[in-house]
Amino acid sequence: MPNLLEPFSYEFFSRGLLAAVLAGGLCGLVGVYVVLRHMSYIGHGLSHSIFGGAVLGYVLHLNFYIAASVWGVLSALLINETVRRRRIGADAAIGIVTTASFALGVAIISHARQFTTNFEAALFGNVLGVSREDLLVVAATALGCGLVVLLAYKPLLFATFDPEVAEVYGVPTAWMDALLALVLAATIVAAMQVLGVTLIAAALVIPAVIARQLTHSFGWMMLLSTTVGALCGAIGIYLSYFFDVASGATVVLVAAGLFVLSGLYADLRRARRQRARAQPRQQGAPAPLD
Amino acid sequence: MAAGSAIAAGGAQLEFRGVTCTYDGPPVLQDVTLRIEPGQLVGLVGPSGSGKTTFLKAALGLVKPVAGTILVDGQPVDRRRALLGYVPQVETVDWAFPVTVEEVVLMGRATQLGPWPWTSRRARAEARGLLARLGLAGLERRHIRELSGGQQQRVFLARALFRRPRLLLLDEPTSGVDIRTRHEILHLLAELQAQGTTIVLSTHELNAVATHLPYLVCLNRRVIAHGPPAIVFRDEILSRLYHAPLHVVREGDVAVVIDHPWRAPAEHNGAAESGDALEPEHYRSR
Repeated sequence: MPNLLEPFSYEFFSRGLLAAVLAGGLCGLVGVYVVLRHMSYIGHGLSHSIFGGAVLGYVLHLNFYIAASVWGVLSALLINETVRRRRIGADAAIGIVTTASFALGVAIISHARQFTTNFEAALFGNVLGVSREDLLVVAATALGCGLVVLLAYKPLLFATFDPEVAEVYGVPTAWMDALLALVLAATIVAAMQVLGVTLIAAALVIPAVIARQLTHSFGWMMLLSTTVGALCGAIGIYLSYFFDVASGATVVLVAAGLFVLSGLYADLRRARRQRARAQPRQQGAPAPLD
Repeated sequence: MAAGSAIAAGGAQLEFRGVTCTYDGPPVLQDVTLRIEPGQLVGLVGPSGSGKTTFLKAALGLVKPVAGTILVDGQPVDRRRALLGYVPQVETVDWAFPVTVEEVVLMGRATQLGPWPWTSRRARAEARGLLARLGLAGLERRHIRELSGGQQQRVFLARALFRRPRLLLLDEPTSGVDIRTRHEILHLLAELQAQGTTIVLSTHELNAVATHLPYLVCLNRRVIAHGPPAIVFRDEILSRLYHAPLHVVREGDVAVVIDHPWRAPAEHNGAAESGDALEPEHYRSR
């Protein structure tokens, strides 16, 4: 039997685990807005766009995070503007902007093949290669985004649920949209090293969808989604060590597995409730749980 | 279901001066001049696409007029947002969104209760009291989709009333609810009016709703007529409003509009088919 505590004796593993928990939790938290605002495609596109910026930054000898952040913020605001204006189909515009940006990154890489390997982590995630700096960035971003989401909870909720009435009641909805775009960009930049460009969209969406199946309350959905995201990060990294599989892929596969389980659970609960409604309630029997 | 005295504050005045609104095309509202006095209960009537919703959205500051001014208590609406309450059409609500009844009501004061997730016990007790007065006691933790149509309508009314508005605007508050709920909503609005709140609601239901309101504005891009139902419910006004022959039958105080005249008046030959004239919203998509 393998020693289950063995991986913890390596510093790189503990660091990677912590980074994955933080990145997963952060994606779970921000993912609630991504799902409820139907922004999954934006999340997917933005992560690809940021990859282009990161590669460009590498060629220009800039810090990875600075280049990715600047590019990410610009892309996020551009996408946000495009969506708000609704002149051309938003999905088409997003597809053009973000895929062109991704293509730029791929073009640069393919031209100078010597640094291809450096970007494998950015594409597919390499949690076990997480440096002290990476961990620091993930932690700071998680803290910052967590604070923003907490301290703007009511206006963000209102602007997401019912933007028109929110505007009437004095919520600065344009600022809330921009704020969320920035939070999303920061999340992707911070989680990229751990989860990879190609897998971030799933890490954003799945925990939120799982949480939605388990609760009807917005507040609970945020708590559950963050927890599920962090849990997927932890379990995924742990399993990736034992099975020697790419960390980002394992995290997403764990999340997908939990999604299937939560779907089954929600179906079972619905069926049970319908049965309870169909039968006249017996005296003393507990009321069906909500 | 009774509205307690705490819900309402004194009414506000709403004034449109030569207001024209467009959405990149021909005007939806044209040169609308109208003053609704504090404490009035006004129904906006007109066919589908006649500008009822645009009128409400312009009054709320959501649609900016290309000409004219809109004043709430003598000030531009952007400076009077605190006085406004708005109940949108239930069809526009995202019913799959994970919010409970209480979460929706608390949104009414989203900018006043602090931006963080928690809400003071006092504000929550107030929200619960309001729900109880609207006949929704015990439903605080329910998801909004689990309620009946009438309950859903009242939840969004509660969100507007939680602001203690002085000008309450409602878009089709009686569409999609049963007769009893419709009566309850109309009674509640009458009570709010009696307490001084100015209320403007849009409706396409002439007989079920409009005849019971004290004052009507007939809107079809322009104001065709305004006044109590006894004055505006006339064959020529309604036929002009709906571009279809309508006939008004009076029985004492009650006026009933029917859309099957015994014989089509000669001047309306060739006009729109009368079959869908009375409630065109049922037949046309918005």
